[in-house]
This record gives sequence, structure tokens and C-alpha cells, in this order.
Amino acid sequence: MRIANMATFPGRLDSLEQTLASIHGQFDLLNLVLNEFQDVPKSLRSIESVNFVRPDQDMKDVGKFYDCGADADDYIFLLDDDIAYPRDYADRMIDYFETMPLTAKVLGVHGVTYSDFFDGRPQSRLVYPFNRRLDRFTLVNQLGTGTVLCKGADMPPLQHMMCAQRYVDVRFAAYQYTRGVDMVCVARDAEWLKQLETRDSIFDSFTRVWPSRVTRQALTIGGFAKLNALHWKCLSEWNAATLDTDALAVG
Amino acid sequence: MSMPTNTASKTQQAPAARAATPRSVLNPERQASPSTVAEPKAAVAAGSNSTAVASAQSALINRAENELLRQKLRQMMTGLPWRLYLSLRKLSLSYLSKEQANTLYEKSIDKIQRRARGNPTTLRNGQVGAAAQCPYKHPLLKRTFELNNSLRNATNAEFAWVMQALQHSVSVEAYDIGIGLARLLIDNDNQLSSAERATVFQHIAATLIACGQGDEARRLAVRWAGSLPSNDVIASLKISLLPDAVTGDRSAMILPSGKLNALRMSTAIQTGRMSPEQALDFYFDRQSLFDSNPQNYLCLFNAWRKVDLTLATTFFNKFTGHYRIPPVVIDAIGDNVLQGVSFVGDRRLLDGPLVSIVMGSFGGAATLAYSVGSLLQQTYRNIEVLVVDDQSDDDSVRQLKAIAADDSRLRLFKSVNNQGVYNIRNALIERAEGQFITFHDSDDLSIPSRIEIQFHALITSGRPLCYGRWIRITPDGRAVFFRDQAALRMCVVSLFAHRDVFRWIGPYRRSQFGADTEFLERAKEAIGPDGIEAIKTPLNFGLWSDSSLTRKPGIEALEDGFRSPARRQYAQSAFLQRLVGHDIIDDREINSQLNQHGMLREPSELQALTPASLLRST
Repeated sequence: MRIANMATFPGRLDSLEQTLASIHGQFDLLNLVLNEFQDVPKSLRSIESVNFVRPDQDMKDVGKFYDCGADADDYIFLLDDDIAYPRDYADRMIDYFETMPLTAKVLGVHGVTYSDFFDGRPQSRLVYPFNRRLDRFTLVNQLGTGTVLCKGADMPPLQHMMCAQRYVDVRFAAYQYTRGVDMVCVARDAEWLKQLETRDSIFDSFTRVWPSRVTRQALTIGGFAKLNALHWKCLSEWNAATLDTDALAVG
Repeated sequence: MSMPTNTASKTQQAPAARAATPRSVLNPERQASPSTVAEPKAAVAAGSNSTAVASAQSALINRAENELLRQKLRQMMTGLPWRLYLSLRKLSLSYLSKEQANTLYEKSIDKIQRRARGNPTTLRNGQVGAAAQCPYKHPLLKRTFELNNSLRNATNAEFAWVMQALQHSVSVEAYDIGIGLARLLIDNDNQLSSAERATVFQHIAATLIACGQGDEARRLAVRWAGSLPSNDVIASLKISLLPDAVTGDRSAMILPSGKLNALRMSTAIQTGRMSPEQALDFYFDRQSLFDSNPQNYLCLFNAWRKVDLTLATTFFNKFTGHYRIPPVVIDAIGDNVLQGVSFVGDRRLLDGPLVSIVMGSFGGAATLAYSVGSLLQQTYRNIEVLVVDDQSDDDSVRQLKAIAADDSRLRLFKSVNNQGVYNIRNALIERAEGQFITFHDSDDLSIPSRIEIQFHALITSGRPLCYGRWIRITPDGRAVFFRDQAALRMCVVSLFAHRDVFRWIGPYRRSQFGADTEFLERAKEAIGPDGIEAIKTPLNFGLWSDSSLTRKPGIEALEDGFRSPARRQYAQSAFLQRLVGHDIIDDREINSQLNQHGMLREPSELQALTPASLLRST
């Protein structure tokens, strides 16, 4: 079963509609967490296969970790409401997932590897932005949780994520790191996923100072030294043997 | 401002006190004995002229067993070291006439105090996250900042960045990070060019050795043999990796740069693959190799110390002479060579503000006499030596009391419970009355002018903190060469600073080991490198024995580069704390790590042992 989880709030209604249009028909079920909505917007009511969730409190981006009761073997896609996904998104991601040699893994399109001496500044990170081309699959420390595919078994419990508002990517990465699950940033062409313009964002600019506990967690999970060297080799060999970079081109 | 009153000098200079001190470094009886270099020593002590020196040299040469050796000694002594030593010594003493010292002191002390008190806000205690400009003063932290900035441009060049990061992890001793980086490069070495392998091998090998994986470093050296360059670092590494392959082959004693491979020579001597005679022949054939780097004379000292202590000591003094420190006399190697070391020196006594020397001792009965004695015989007289016996189960307390009975500058304490050296330092810094504070280990020997040199360094530089260098010597007299070819190394124990520095930077962490290094690194960041004077002179001879903290199983840091897991973790965490601040890595976290290794010590009360009448008033 293909399940997608996404959280939104009223300020994102415009981009949300574009996002929903882009993923139409790709998933068996979409759990849409409506933060701060008094009711389900009329424009959304007609969409099929959507489970609308109106939480008692504003869960912000933690909402995408809504406990949907998925089976361990279900595919869970975590989505953002300000990204336009390609028509082949779910199919291609699942194809990557099934053919890739690594056993315990989470895939994503937006990847981050921290400096091994991360000092809390954005410059101390190597970012593979989701809207830029990447010619190979590569291990990273962290994935942007709006571009993630994982198995139901690898979804963190909602309770685990509850205190991580605005910093869910770090918390999600730490959860996978402690369980020995690799995070793989997938090869893709530029603009395979597109950033949508929004009036508001639940994410501030990265330029603000992170809370101490978040920087500490990034230090714990971050750095090339934390990547599995043999899995890096395995992935490199797989890249060399199977990856057709021409096929990445956005049609 | 005038010089502070020397309150101790009235009692401290009594000849009886010196004579009664066991193993006194200036024991008149020993100076009069027919020791190995008694003649030059007497000449120097008497402040004699060049004729006396020449006479002393002749006497020494004439005692040689055969003409060949006499010829060689004559050749070796030409011009050096005694005559040069005398002239240099005269010059060096002139700097601290009373008037000059007063002038220097008045000019410098205000500056020193100002810098020593620092600005509390300059020690990071929060996030670096918003910093656009480099907020660091410490060169290694600056380098970290630059390394981090370069990461954002590393797409498709990840391994180039990883290689830089690995080199940096070795520099800051973050080996637990380094081993992950090394693993990434080793397991993916098909992605490294030959040139990249040549560049990165030394850092990978250093990391593997530090982490106790020398076997893997050996295998890698074989696998990458075709890529490895011929340079000094690789040649030195091979000795650590393959010590059994070290032969006495003279051609192998030269590094690719043309310098002496002192580590190899010392190893060959130690393992009997190079005889003392071969070492001496090599010296006479290639004298420039030794003259160009005086610590290389210690190879010859190592070679001859058990065969001919006269000749060995002469080589030792060619080393000391280069640094204008007094020649040594070595009575015998014995169980601990430092017990038999004394210095040939003049008796000039220097005055100045009170300097407190802090020392903890545990089970030091066999070493206290020479260790404390070397402090009480300092040419700089206005000192107080604060010693804590840390619950020793030997004769230490009795010995210390005997010494203190004759010299009121020694203040004795006893730990109620064993607490480790850094808790002792914290407690004694509070009790120290000196304007300057420094430290000493209970099995180390200071040269007589150590305090004089360090005080002079601060006053002339206006800096609030300095440290010197030392050599490590095994009980059987071997000067230890480390993997970087150096026997003469930075001595963090000799840290000497204005007392306000300790209020600003301190206290020391309650660790069983390594807290002095952390303290110094914090000081470098807080004060800045230009606030610290690094003295090149060897100020101490440190005992390199199985009882040394640096060799104690579980917390060892060995000469081949191995670091125990506890030491690696502490060094890395302390570095990261300096990088990101205490808000992100707080002291409790580091202390918890130390505690897991059983290396966090609880402070204990101190009991004064010195009779109250002899203690200074507070």
C-alpha cells in the first residue's frame, strides 16, 4: 500500500492545491493533517482517497508523522505542501527503493551531510537541494522530510517526533541513525521536484540560531564519519553498474 | 611600583637547608666527588676562565681508554660546549639585575594582569550558529571554521573534503571522528588517485595507530606501497608500523630530507641492532646531522649510557648546552636515572614576586627527593612549593616532612581521600599566595633555572602565560623519541601563568588525566595565541615509566601514537565543546563520559601537614 502523509495550515492553501494536483492518483491514501483549520476547506472535500485529520493542537510539521496505522511493509511517503511532485514520483521512488541493494534504508530527494566538526552554522553542511541535479545516489546524514520514502516499519512514533516542531528533519535522521538505517539521497535531474511559492512558511530561514539541543543532535548524527563506509562503497558500485544518468532527465 | 618583598628569602637560603635536602641538586658533597665530569663542573661553578675549562677537558680526555677514543673526544669538544656555555651564561644572567628587573616588572605587570583577567564574554558560552565572521582566536578553531565553510562547495568532491577533515581530526586529536573518515577512504580507495593516497596515508595511519589498529595500517601500507611517497613522515611512520624491521644499516638512518632519522637510530640502539661503537662512528662520520638538531645527541646518549656514562653525559650536555641550560652530572643510571642527575650551575640567586609551584604526589617516595629538591634549588628563590600527598601508602609523607623541616618554602598537605592531580591543583590554586602559579609532577626534574626562565619570559613578553619543553627519560636512562622524530616536546606541566589566568580559565576538569591540555587549549582560545609564550628551552626532564599517567593502562598515550579510548573521547569532546560552546556540549556530558571510564575524580578535603608556625599567613 502506498500511503502519503502531509501537514498544512491555512496560509498554505494556494500551494497545497498545486501540490495535491501534482500527486493526484499516485497514492492509495493521503493523510492530510489540517493544522489551525476550523473545518475541511471546501476546495479539498472532493479529492478522493484523502483522510483529513484536524488535530486538537497545532502540530506544525510534526503532523506529517501522523500515526496512520500503516503496516510495516507499506510504503510511506512524507510530503510537503509547498512542493510540486512529478507525475512519476511515487513509481520511480518505489522502483529505486526495491532495486537498491541496501537493506535498511530511507530514500529522499533533499539530502544534507553535516561537517564532522559541525558548528551550528548553515555553512557547515553539504546540501543536495531537491530542485538541483544529482548524478548519483549518495548516502547522507539527513533527508528533508518533505521528500522521504520509507517503509512503515521505519516510521518513528508520533510521540517521538512531538517535541521536534520545526526541526523534524534532524529528529527523523537521529531516529534512523540510532536504528542503523541508511539515508540515501536519490539521483535526479534538476527541477524533478519543484519549489512552490508560498505566502507563509512554517519553516523560518535557516539563518536563525538553532536551539542547543538541535545543534547537539546534529553533532551526534552528522559528519561523513557517521556514514557506513561499506554501504557507501556498495552504493557507488551500484551507481556505476546500473545508473543511467540520461534517464534522469525530466520529460 | 617596586618589586614585591621577598618574604621567604630570609629563611630559604640557609646553607643547612640545601645540605639537608636529600639528593640535593646542588649538594656540595656530590660536587666535590670524583664524578664523571667533575673537572668541568668545578670550573664552571667557580666561574673560572678558559684555562680552567681547557684543563678540565684535558683531564676528561686523558681518562679515555685508548687513543682512538681520545682523538674522538678531542674532536668533539673543540670549541664546545664549556666555553660557549660560560659566555652565554654570563650574558643570560645580566638581564635580571635588580634595576633592570624593576623596570621590566613595572612595565609588564599591568599589561600581564590586564590580559590575565581577560574578558569573560570572549569565552564562548552559547551558539556559534549565527556567526558570519570567524569568532575564534585559536588557530585550530579558525581552521575548523574555514574547513566548515568549504564543505558547501564539496558536491562531487566529497572525498577531497573528507581528506582535509581527516587531516584536521588528527591535528585536533579527534580520532573517533577520524577513524570514521579513515574507514570511508580505506573502504572506497578505488576512488582515490595515487596522489591522493600518497597525501592521505599519513593521516589514515596516524588515526589507525591512535585507535589501536596498527595492523590495519600495516596492511594498508603494503596495499598502497606503490603510491606512498618517500618523505620524512612516511619514513617515520614505517618505524612505528614495522619496528622489527629496523636494522642498524647506516644508510637507513637518514631521512629523505637528509636529516637524521633519530627515531630509527634510537630504535636500532634500543633493540641492539646498532652498537654504541657503530653509533659513535656514525656520529663522527656524519657530525653535521647531530649539530644541526641538538636533540639528536640524545641518540648518542642513549647508545652510551650503559657503556660509558662519561661519554654519554658529554653528549647529553652537548644537547643541554645548545639551550644554554646548565650541564648535568649523572652519578649512575641505577633504578631511576633522574635520581642521579644534578646540574652544574652558578649560585646566583634571583629575586622577584612570589611564585607558587603546585604539585600532587601519589606513591612518590622514590622520586620526591629529586623532584622537590629540584624546585627548592631553583635560582629564582622567592617560591613556595605546595605539595599534596594524595593518600600514598609509602614513605612519601615522612620524606616530605623531613624536607619541609629544613625549608619553610615547602607547604605540605594531605588528601583526606585520594582525588587525583587536577582536584589537587584546583584546591592548591585557591591556597597559593604567589602572583604567578606553575606546576610540577612528583617524578619530574626541573632544571635549576626553570622558574627564572619562565618568569623572565613573562616579564619580557608582557604575556600572562607561558610553557616550556621537556624530554622524557625512561628509568634506565633512555631519552624517548616519538613518532614525529622529536624527543624535545612541549611540556604542558610547565604551564606558568599569572594567578588571574586560573580564575578566568579554570578550574581544571576533575579528570584523572589530560585536564592540563584542555586548560591550555581553552587558554589559547580565550587569551589568543599571542598571549602565550612558548619557550623552546627544555625546562623539565620527565620520567617515562610504567607508573606515569601517560602510560597507565586505560589512559595511556604512547610514543608510537596510540591513545586509549578514554583519552580519545575526552580530547574529542573537549575540542567540540570549545568549538560550539558549553550550551551545546555542557560539562556534565563530558564528565559523564569520563565517569563511564572511571576517570572522573571527586575532590577531597586537604589537611595541612606543615607545622602552622611555618605556614605563611593568609
